[in-house]
Amino acid sequence: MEDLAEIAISSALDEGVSFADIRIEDTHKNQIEINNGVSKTSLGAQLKGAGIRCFIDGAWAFAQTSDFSSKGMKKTGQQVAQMALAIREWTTEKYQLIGPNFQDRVKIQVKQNLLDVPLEDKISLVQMLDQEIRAVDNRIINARSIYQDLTTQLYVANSLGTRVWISNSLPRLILQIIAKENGVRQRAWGQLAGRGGFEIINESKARKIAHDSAKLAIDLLSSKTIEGGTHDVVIDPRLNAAMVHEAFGHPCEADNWVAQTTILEGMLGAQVGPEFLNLTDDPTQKNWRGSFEYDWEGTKAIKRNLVKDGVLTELMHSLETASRLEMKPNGAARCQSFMYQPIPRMSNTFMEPGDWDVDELISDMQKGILLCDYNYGYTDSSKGQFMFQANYGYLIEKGEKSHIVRDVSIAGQILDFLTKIDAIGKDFGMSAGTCGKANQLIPDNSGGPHARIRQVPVGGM
Amino acid sequence: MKQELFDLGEHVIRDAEKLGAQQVEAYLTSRKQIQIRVEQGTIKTAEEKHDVGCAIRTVIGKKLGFAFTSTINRSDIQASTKEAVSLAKFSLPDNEFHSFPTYSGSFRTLDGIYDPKTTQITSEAAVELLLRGIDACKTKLGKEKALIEGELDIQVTELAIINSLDTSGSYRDTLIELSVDPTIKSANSQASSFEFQISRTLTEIDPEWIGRIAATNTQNSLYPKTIKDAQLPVIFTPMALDFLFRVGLAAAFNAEEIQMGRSYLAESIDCQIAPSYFHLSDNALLPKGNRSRPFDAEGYPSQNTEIIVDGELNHFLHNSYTAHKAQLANTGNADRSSYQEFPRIAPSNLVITPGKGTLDDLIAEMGRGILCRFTFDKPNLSTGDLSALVMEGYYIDKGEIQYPVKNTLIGINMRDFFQGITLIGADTRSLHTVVSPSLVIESAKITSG
Repeated sequence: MEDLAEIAISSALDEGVSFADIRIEDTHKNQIEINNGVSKTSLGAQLKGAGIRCFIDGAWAFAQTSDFSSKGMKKTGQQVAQMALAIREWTTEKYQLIGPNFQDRVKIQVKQNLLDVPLEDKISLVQMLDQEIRAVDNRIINARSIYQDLTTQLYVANSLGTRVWISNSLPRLILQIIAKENGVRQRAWGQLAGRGGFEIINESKARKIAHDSAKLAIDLLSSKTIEGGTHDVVIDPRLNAAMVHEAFGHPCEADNWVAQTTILEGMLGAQVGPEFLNLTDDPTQKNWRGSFEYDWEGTKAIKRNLVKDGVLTELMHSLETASRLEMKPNGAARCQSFMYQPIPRMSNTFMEPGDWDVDELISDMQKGILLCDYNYGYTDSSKGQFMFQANYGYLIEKGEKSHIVRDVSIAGQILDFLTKIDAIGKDFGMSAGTCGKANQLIPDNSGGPHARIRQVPVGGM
Repeated sequence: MKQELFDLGEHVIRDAEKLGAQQVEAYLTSRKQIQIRVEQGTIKTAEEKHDVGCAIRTVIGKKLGFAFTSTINRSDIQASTKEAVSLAKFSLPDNEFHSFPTYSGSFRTLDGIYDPKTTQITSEAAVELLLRGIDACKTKLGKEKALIEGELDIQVTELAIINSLDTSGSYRDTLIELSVDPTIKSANSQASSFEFQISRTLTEIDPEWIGRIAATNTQNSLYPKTIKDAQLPVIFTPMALDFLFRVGLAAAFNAEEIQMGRSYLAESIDCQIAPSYFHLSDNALLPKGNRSRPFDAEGYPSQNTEIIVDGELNHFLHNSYTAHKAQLANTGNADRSSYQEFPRIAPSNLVITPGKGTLDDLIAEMGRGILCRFTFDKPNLSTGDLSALVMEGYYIDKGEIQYPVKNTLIGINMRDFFQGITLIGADTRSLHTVVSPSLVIESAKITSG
């Protein structure tokens, strides 16, 4: 593998480019989906190949290959270099790529290697959860239980001298439940994920999540939609995860900064939220789904303090963005697979806990909405506009939780929104996810405590 | 390439049968792709990819296995074949499963889905094409301080499917998408927008039009305002409907979602769900259609399926599995965008029959309301509730656009959306999945703040 990487890099450099890198990947995936007692998908997948990238004077070129012969690697290296040289004449911002180099071989420590767990055991686990969910209540009309895992060996080498072996192991369980009564349908979700071996999918934890999710689907049968308007809201850790990720994480990815399309441009060092607000992206946390030791460019990954005491202090960088913005690379370049180019992405992104008891946060508010869980969300960094949708929530009346409500959307402008946070809870929770950007999906993790936000536009029917 | 793909497919069938599979399907694709990206008005990246892979489905009794590999190396394919058979052995049986499709006839040849000129384009020519769009955008913006991004994506795909029941077919297609995305930074306001075209042939892409419209839309989006909460009519443009229908509506018509009881339309077959002047079909044979194909992802012949006729919901979209389960005809809607996906039910080209009038006519007739040019939102599949952020849109009063809106949400249930269609324009655009004009919805809850 190392030999092939050397061939690709040297053949590219010989063509005249100033930088070349390669990612050689071997990934295995399993997906087991059981739907109401029936196997819907039983998947095994092998992703094997190399992505080669070249750079000169601001021009980038990329190609992928599954040809692991010396001749094939040399040819692909040359072709990518020639492409970069060909488009160089059209680039206007000329810059050099500067960065450290690393040599390491990291092997993830697991108790139960995902590749060694018999297929029957994975299927049995999903089957057990499927049965448990449907046994909770006869109003549950559909249980969809999905187990996914991914095992990766990745070698990254570049012309700066980086030579890094990385491994990854990501199991995940996703449960979707539909309940129905008197023509009304409601859904609920649950999941369990982390970075490690099959031990992450702890059976008793999985059963509790299955039971709680099924019960939530039943509770939601009596939920109502809310009237749209401007409300004070408290967001729970799972919705805070979406808020931190969508409203602030994406705008701090530095590719938006070099393109000068982020609404935060020019605000590094500026106060963007209250002094008690701290937002962090940390890929070094043990066993979290978004963790990694080196990024997909082979740069050592470190903790990033995006917002410290309300001040925007740090961004998430690739080698390119760090070079162009004259900042230090911090190992945030990621890609879905060897078929894509690495770009700045989040890892484990969260709001640091504050000093309010959660009950106090709610009782202190006479009227409003407690918003829980997360359906989906997105942001447009250039407009600073974002939207995310809670799966359900509770009206708060006279400082107490009252009726359950569903599908509540919140929209806002990033810079207005952060200043509206007036209280942060002591609690903390993280939610595993999969983030999409530039047609690439990557595993991540987001979270935080309960937090209160004043006067937010809330969509309703 | 075609013969090589078929030869590999035949090997897969022989190998899987030796391992105990009773039915086998091999799905092989070879996709060449050129992608060019522009940042700050100049070229940043060029990519040339060649992705070749093989997906294998196997059946033992009533149990299915699925595996794929991102190479067409014989030993990798053999390993995946073995895994697909193992997965079938250990899966739970699905008694509703009947068979992979059997079709031994010849498939229809579709005009306009393959453009030989597109296959010959070089990276340099692709760069020049994209730069024409960027230059047009710059010219239109004049001295305005703007940052322009853009992308050109050209795909040439060759696909072959073969199963152990004598179904076999192959076709080639091309797809080109060019987009321009400017951001304007003005005093006290920053606005961004985009425009794109997608087509099977290079000659139908008009970079200058894309650049000009993207610039105009961005200029029009500066200085947005919130509005007072109200019940108002809404115009959804083809671009808004492309995402809303592709993601949110297609799932509601999906027979698997219906059979699992997950769709809000589960009990609406043969019911009047829209006004009598609303017609919607799924036409996989549409000439030049961006998702037209001679057969679906299981090798079943494509067709035109009338989903809503005169406002009445007549058909759901089926693959071989759901059709057999419901004892209905297969509509040929098995779909996968790559060998890496398990075949799922998805629409081909969702075609809404046009009515009358330009977008300006619809605005004039509306009087007061919201124009939603784009949203990324989708309804709750179980309830049909939609709460959609207007990512780009305008407040309309006295039959004219007054100003762009911000932080504005549209709340409506999809049943009310369909029943509330009051006008259908004639400004049809062919986008990713939707071929539609603008639609006017009588009333939705508008929240802004």
